Amino acid sequence: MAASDDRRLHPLSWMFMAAQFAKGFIVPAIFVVFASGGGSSYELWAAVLIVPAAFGAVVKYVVFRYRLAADEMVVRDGILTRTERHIPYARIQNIDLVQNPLHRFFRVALVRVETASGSKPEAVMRVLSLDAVTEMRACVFEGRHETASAEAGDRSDSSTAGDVLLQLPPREIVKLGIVSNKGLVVVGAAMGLYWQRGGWARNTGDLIEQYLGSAMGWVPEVAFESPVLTGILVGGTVLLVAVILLRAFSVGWFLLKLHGFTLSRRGKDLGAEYGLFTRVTRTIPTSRIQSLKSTETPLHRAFGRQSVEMRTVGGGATDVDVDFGAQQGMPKAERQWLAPMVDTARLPTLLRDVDEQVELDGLAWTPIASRAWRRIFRRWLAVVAPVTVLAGVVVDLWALALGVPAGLLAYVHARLYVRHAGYALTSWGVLFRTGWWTRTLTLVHYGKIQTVALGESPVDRWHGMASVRVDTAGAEAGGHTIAIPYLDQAVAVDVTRRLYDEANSRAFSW
Amino acid sequence: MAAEADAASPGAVSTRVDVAPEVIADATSAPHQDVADGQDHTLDPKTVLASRLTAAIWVGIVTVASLIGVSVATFAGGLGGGATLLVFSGWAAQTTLLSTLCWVWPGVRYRHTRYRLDARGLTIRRGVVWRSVTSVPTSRVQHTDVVQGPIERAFDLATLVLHTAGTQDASVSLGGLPHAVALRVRDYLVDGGSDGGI
Repeated sequence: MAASDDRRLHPLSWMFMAAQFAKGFIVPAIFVVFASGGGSSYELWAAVLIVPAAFGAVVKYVVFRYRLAADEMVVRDGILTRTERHIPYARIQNIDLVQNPLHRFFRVALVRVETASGSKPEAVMRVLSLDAVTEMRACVFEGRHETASAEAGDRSDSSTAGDVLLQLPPREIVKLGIVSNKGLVVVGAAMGLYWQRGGWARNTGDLIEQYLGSAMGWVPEVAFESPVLTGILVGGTVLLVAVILLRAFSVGWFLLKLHGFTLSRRGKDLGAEYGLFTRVTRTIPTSRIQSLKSTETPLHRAFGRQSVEMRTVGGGATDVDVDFGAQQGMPKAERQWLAPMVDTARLPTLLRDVDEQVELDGLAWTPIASRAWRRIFRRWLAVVAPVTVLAGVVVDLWALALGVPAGLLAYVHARLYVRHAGYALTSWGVLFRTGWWTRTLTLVHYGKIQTVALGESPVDRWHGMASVRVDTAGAEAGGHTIAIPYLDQAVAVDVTRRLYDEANSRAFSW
Repeated sequence: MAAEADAASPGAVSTRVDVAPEVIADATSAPHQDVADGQDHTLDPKTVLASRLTAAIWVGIVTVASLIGVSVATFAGGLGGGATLLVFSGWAAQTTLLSTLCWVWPGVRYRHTRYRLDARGLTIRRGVVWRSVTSVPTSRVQHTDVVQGPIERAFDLATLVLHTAGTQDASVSLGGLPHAVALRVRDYLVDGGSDGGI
């Protein structure tokens, strides 16, 4: 039977709450102090503000209680406004953990208790000892057996390890770093700091001169005879070094963030675990996945890999949530890795493991209207032509010659775009792919379709074309979604009708 | 999108989030199947006049504001006769253009708007230059609002707002329905959706 007496947070909780505060405020403040060259009163302000923060943390520790009753968890919090929240075990979808090195040193974890309702976790416990987490999990899942509902039965084995679907060895993570641009984040931060310190104004000129000077030393003697050749060589070297550095940062970033990435499946839930210093343990009910997106850059292709992301939206009504007062609107949408790197050949198997219905093998792709290439080509020409003419007038008449390769590129792009774009309506969902350089594929279950819209721009009408758009929960603004352009009008009407019928014949559940 | 602006308009007088028992009784006593006939319907013709009125208020505000601006600029700036004439004829041209647009456009828009309700859901066809046909399955309607602004109230019109869990189409609004029809459509969609999971 479940333990029914009150429990508190871990005695060291105040430290982690203060650390959280420090992360949000002190660290930037220290950066500012460091950046402004010291001697300001920021330290003082930081010290002044940390006192109430620490005090608040201690108070929180004193007032926060939770109780593991027979079939529900009761959380009490607050000083002036006291809240007592009852969370039935059957409604708890997952208990997520986050552990940074400090957490791991003290054998504690930040715990998030999530249910199907609301966008925020039902309860956040900063922090609990690992023993307490084990106890909580045991209670929640034991209670599940007692309620013995069909759904709960499916998830009753959540406490066990589950089937491992994907594991990323360091080698794969290095590949991920090489194919992605995450290094820019690191460089951006470093540049910001450097600029803050006034480095640009004072040193940059000297530095560039110095580095360029030494770079010149590496260039063979002949190069100096032609300034253009020298420029190209030096520029190329600088670019190459920059690219290599960026990718190195990127590799480092992912090695930290995604170390030991493991995706597993327990019943209807996916479990993901990753991170070197900050270890994240997440549970994602498969019903929360709204859409899947796989990306394949030329570098991905060189490695024979793809990156798969999922858009998830936490469950819950869209109505005013009584528990959270003013909280209103959509549950929070998130973009998460399903598989940061997966062998292209293994992708269909992986997706089938995640969702039995998804079948990528033997898809019948329908291309978009083949005459669309002219529209794309003309639109590119409309950009290329004025730029070329302007360059010809302003710079040199020879610049007009650049129009030829640019026009050719536009032609090739238009042809390849049309060849690689396509959609597929299967028995379970709709897929849409675009791109010939970076190839992107989005798939959405019919059951996750919210609305279907057919659009017709004036140019579409002129060409007898139309586009079809599918709206899902938590779609990324400006991201790749099911928005199929350049369809013959009759085809677009037919596709819209089929999508509408398919969406209609399936219920939507969070 | 315009839908969101409508949903957030302060004229909201009637909001309904879920099926209340007395409304179910209403629905059974007065069947609302008649609205779900699967036929294309135009909006209430009165919506043209209502939109013209709304637009006229805006045109009036813009006209008066720009007249004040133009007058102040002319007299404070001490412009000559020719320049003054030019500025004021510019203002007159703007006013004429806006007035014409505010008179013509609602009619054009009205002619290009259709809606259809059937067992599957609501389909809205609209747009003059950029046209769209948006279909909302009944089972995806999370909740609905029937909104009446002051002008809509004067004409007994209403705007029906369907909220879905979607992103771009998080709320789909259809303005210019007769108030009674908006209520019947709402009842139909909410009843139909109750088994689909609200």
